[in-house]
Amino acid sequence: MSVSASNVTKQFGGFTALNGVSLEAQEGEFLALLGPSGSGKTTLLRILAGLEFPDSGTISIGGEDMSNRAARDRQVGFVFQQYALFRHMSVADNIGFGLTVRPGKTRPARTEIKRRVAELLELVQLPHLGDRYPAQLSGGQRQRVALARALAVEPRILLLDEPFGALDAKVRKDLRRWLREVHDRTGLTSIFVTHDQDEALDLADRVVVMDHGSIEQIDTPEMLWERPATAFVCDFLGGANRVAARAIAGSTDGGDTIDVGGVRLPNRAPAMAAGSATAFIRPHEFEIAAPGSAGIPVTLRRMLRTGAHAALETATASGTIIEATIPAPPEGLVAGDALVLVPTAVRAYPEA
Amino acid sequence: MKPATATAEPRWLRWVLTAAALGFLAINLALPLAAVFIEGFRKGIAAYAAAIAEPDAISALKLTLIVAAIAVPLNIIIGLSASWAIAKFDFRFKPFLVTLIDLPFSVSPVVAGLIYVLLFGMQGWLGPWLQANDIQILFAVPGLVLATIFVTFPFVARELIPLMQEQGRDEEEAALSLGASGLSTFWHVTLPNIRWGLLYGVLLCNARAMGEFGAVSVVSGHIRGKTNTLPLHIEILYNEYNFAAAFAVASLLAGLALVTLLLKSLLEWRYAGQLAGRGH
Amino acid sequence: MTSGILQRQPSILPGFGLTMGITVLALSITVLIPLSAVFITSAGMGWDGFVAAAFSRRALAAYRLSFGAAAAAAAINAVFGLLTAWVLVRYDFFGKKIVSALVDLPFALPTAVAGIALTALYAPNGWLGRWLVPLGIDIAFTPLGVVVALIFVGLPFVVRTVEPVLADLGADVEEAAASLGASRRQTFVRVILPAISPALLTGCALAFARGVGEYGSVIFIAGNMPFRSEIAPLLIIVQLEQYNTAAATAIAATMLVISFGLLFAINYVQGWQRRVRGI
Repeated sequence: MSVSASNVTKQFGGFTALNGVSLEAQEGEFLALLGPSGSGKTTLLRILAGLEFPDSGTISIGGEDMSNRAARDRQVGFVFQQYALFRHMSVADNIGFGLTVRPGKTRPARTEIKRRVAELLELVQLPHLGDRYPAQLSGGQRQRVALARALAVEPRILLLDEPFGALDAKVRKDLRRWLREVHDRTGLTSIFVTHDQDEALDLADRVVVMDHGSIEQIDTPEMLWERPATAFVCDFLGGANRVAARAIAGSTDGGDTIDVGGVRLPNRAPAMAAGSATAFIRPHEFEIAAPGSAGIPVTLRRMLRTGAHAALETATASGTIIEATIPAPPEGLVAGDALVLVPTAVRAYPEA
Repeated sequence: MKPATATAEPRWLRWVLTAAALGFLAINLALPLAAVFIEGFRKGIAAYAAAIAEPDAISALKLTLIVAAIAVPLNIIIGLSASWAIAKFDFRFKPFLVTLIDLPFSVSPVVAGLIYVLLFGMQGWLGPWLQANDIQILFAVPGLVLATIFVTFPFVARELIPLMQEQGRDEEEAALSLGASGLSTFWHVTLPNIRWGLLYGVLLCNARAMGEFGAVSVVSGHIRGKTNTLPLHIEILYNEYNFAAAFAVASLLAGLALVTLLLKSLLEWRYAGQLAGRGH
Repeated sequence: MTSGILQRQPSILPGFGLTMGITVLALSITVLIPLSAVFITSAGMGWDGFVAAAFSRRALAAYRLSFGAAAAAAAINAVFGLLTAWVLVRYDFFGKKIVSALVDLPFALPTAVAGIALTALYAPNGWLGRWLVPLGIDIAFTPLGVVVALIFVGLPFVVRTVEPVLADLGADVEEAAASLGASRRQTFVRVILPAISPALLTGCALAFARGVGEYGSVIFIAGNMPFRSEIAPLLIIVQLEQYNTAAATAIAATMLVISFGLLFAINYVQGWQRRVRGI
């Protein structure tokens, strides 16, 4: 089922949580809403679920306008960050809850509910825990139960609010892979909120990057990584060094050219007008050269060898720290040595 | 019409529920309170003043204050001791001791009075000996104090035990390791941390001490002008059909209750984090 | 030393012996020894004597009234206490802080004052009585009056026990129920009520225990007719005034046993509540 939000605005008191946000998820798509806290991603998810209502704008699911439909009538599966399991109910009763509250005619028979619950317990790989209570389960198990409970009502779409937020790192990784499998098996259009860029890039078909109540970019993980649309996106994806640079208009391939310390490279970010720029260069996008070459002159502060690679922590004359990862460092390189970092790829944006 | 949020009741229902609750509270709580003051002033200010200034009323007031002035400080000492021992140390039978401290809450005040009659009454265990040595406990201040301590026993400890447990013993251990003596650790470290909780417990303890009726009714002997506390004085006036005077004296205690509620609410609003179980 | 025998592990904090000593001494003098007097005196009466005093027809009627009225009041307080807690936690309205403070009035108002005030309201010529009595609703000087007084004293127990649990109930649980298709009513009955019912039960048990032993607020409004509107604590006083200490003690012992049973039950419910709510 496709999902769309168009021009959604939401204010809480004086705070603008969403500022005219539009987005569309295709049938069967796995979408990530990525952003820092306060970016509006959870609010957007809750509006899609009918847990909040927008001040303006419309929501539709499967082409049907849902804007004024209450949560209980939307047939949306929602998985909460803190699981929100019913503590006084067994795991099986939690999962079956959505079926048992249906109005008389549409409520499945007791045996049918039991069968569905068993099936879902199997799906979330907890077949023997139906009689347990939530307090007796681990965090990962609880989240699986929460997912099974959301799937039991055969929702038209699945929404997950920071589904791994409350789990520790190891469980998180396992559950991440497993969630993708479940998604592929059910084919449900799914949208999940996260502030972890690895999680978003690893899991989603497309990632929606949000900041301050607006969408910065919607793209596939590859495109997002290769061509971040804005400096915010590039910065939020993490790891990149910020370096002052200059954009030169009218390069050969139709894009713009970026000058970093005399080294000229095509801009991998969307084209920008000539002038001062902030360049983002990832650590592995450097080579090193002897002092005097074109590039960024730096002093080596620390070097950490990890197997074949070496991570260099360097500083420019003005004290800006630049990190570079290079395959094979020259022999005899020690802290305090002067060297030049030569960028091999660059993404530049107008100076903010 | 779009619903406000997914988990709110419709406006009309909120309205009905609020009105029902407020109506119930108005009839059950506000109305009796108002009745005390209105009935007290029914015969005018002069009659009101006369009822309060009457010698028996004055002596009842004095006795109430004396009993509270002895029982409440004793309860503070007991409460502080109990909570220090229970909250700061780990020992056998702790849950049992806590249950014993709570025990007086589940004993009828009348029974609380009766037990002292069994001990100190003429046919009681110690009665003959007390009489032989001319010691008056029953129908005198000591009996009133004992009965009052009994009914107020849990108030201070109950407030302080969870509070002190919450605070642990790190700070005390730090102070001791820095060379402070036990007493100065208590005075400078523990007490500042629990002062609002202590005040809260004392407030409730005092309200109950000054207002206790059933227990003191049994041990006082109802000797007018001598062993009647204010609540007992009210009963006598009421039973003599001297309603206006009864309510006038009752309004004094109702005033005390209002002051107690006010202070208690102030503590809850301002120092919520420093009272037991209200920190979140 | 006491600390050696009792303490599980030694502590560097001082004062265990002293504070424990004060606690146990005070507890013994004011509570334990006097209470044991009830049971020892009862035991001295012999079984037949005890039964005759504790379970006379008049005493049985008094227990029935005390326990019955306390149960009725607790049931009514379950409904209105929950309603009050709900409104105080969930809704905003003008004067909420004052209303919230007022809920504790029965804790602060001396019982005798409450007793005469309620009587003034419900007596046939009283503020409410003059409207109710013509309708055939006699409250003052009937068992109904006892219930009214016990509703007054019991209300804050229910409200104050339920309130924090209701406040702690996460919004997400209710949202989960809504997104699973539950109506507001289903959410209340199947999600909210089960979650708060242990607290509600505890609050009612506290109100009930208090109601059973209540004296001051009841005797003015009850009418105190033997076999009809005479509560058990009053019967103790009546027996004492007739110098029938043995009968008073037998009735007191019976009430104590029942009260302690209740206390035990409340503790059990609270333990159960902790286990079910987990963590």
